[in-house]
Amino acid sequence: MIILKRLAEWGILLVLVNFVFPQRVYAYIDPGSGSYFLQLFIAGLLGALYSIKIFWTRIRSFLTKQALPSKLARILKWRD
Amino acid sequence: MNSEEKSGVKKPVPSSFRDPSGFLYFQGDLIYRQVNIQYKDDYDRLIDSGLYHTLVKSELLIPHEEVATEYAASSEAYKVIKPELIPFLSFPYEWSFSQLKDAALITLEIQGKALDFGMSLKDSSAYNIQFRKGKPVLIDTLSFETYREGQPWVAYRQFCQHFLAPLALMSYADVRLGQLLRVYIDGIPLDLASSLLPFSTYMKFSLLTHIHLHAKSQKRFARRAIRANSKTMTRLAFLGLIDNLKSSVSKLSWKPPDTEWSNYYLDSSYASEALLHKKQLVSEFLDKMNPKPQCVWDLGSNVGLFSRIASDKGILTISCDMDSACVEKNYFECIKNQETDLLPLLLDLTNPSPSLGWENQERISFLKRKPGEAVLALALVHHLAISNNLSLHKVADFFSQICKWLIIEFVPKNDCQVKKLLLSRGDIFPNYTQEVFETEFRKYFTILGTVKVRHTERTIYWMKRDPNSPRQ
Repeated sequence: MIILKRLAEWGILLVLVNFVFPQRVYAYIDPGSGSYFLQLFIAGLLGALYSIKIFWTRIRSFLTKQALPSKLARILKWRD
Repeated sequence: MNSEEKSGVKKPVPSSFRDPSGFLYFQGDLIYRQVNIQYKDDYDRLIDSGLYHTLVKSELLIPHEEVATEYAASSEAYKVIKPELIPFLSFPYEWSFSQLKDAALITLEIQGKALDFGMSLKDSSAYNIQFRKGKPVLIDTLSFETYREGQPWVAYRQFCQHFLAPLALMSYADVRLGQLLRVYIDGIPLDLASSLLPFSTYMKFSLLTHIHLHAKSQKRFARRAIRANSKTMTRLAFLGLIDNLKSSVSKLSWKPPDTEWSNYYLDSSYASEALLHKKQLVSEFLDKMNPKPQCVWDLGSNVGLFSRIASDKGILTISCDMDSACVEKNYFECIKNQETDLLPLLLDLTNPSPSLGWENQERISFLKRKPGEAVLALALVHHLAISNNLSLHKVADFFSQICKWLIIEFVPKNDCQVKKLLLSRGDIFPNYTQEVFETEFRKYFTILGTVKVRHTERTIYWMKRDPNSPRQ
């Protein structure tokens, strides 16, 4: 119980520190808050679409018994 | 190079001030880029990872050689590099639709390759792309940073403003909206692009996301601080974003319509024999120029028929026209023939690209760039004099400022093209005669050759600027 209490305290402290001293993203050009948050918002969807694209390319390559395009093969190697 | 040359006057390139990673400067005619100490880790990674070699081998990045740090322009130097010099700079508002599209696609290709090597583009300015030997190439070697897992793409906004928004506007609204890039030097604001695009673009997933929702997101989250640890973007999502942008750009298209000018040689009164004779004259006059010019400007080049006479001789030829369809067709021809010495550009000679940006020095005006040692001005003078009300004196004065050699065509009033120009207006040009033309041009040039084009009333002149010319 004490351990849980301590963990909760540490958790609250970390959150507070985070708010008081927020870590900012610095780039020499302004990435734009709206542009940044939009990417995070659509990230899951784009990742899923990309996975489906890779999946279908794999299926197509298997069915047509063609070698994967070199770039895709590199990506798959990295993902695996 | 001796020590005196190493410590010679270093003239900073006015546009190279934004990125603290380094900057460009001229020393004499040579260009150098200082890599600052703060960029050390990223520069070493670019070189050591093999990314630089891969990109240069694929002709996607400008090659450079490292030189001694004695060439440095300040004490913050980690390295000094000497990039290959681009012989003629051009800017996005001077490119045709497909030139801008190709520049966008290589930016994304470079980003894809960078990710393979654990790096990412930290900017995606269209001004970082130049045309080298007929192909777009990235000229900013310091555009790369180490990819940090979880971080979204910092250059996403810039890519959408510099490439996607103008391309979408040119494709879905009007090709002339590409000229907004001349007004907005950091790319077209997305709220403006969103308001100008037709409603049907809301039905396109990529444009809905990257333009319309993007614009709304910018408004919604304006001035909200970004905290690095707030949320993350997986590498797969990052790859998905780049892939989606690539597919969005690839799908955008613009078919050059058959304008009056792009079909000029098909529709006009040019007899094929007259055209052949004109080509032959241009070729002969170019051959007679001694020494051979390093750069030719073909002003009012249409689809580049005469530009190719110069570029086929291995002379860098800047082929300018104000008609977007002509420039697009000219660029298609360059790609088809893999031409390396021809650069088609969109330019209205009566309103050429001005100097833009901070202190009017970031983007150099067209007329202040590498001078066209020789200028081709074929079937142009009547447009300047009659459509734009310029006196022949002003026309001659202008040409004397921009070239040493001039091949120019005089089109008299009894030519059908001039008659067309005078159809809907009064003839207020009593001085538009061949005699006045010769008198005015003789004030600045020595006329070396005069030949009447067969089967026409037109005359081609070959001139050399007089050493005692008032503009010399």
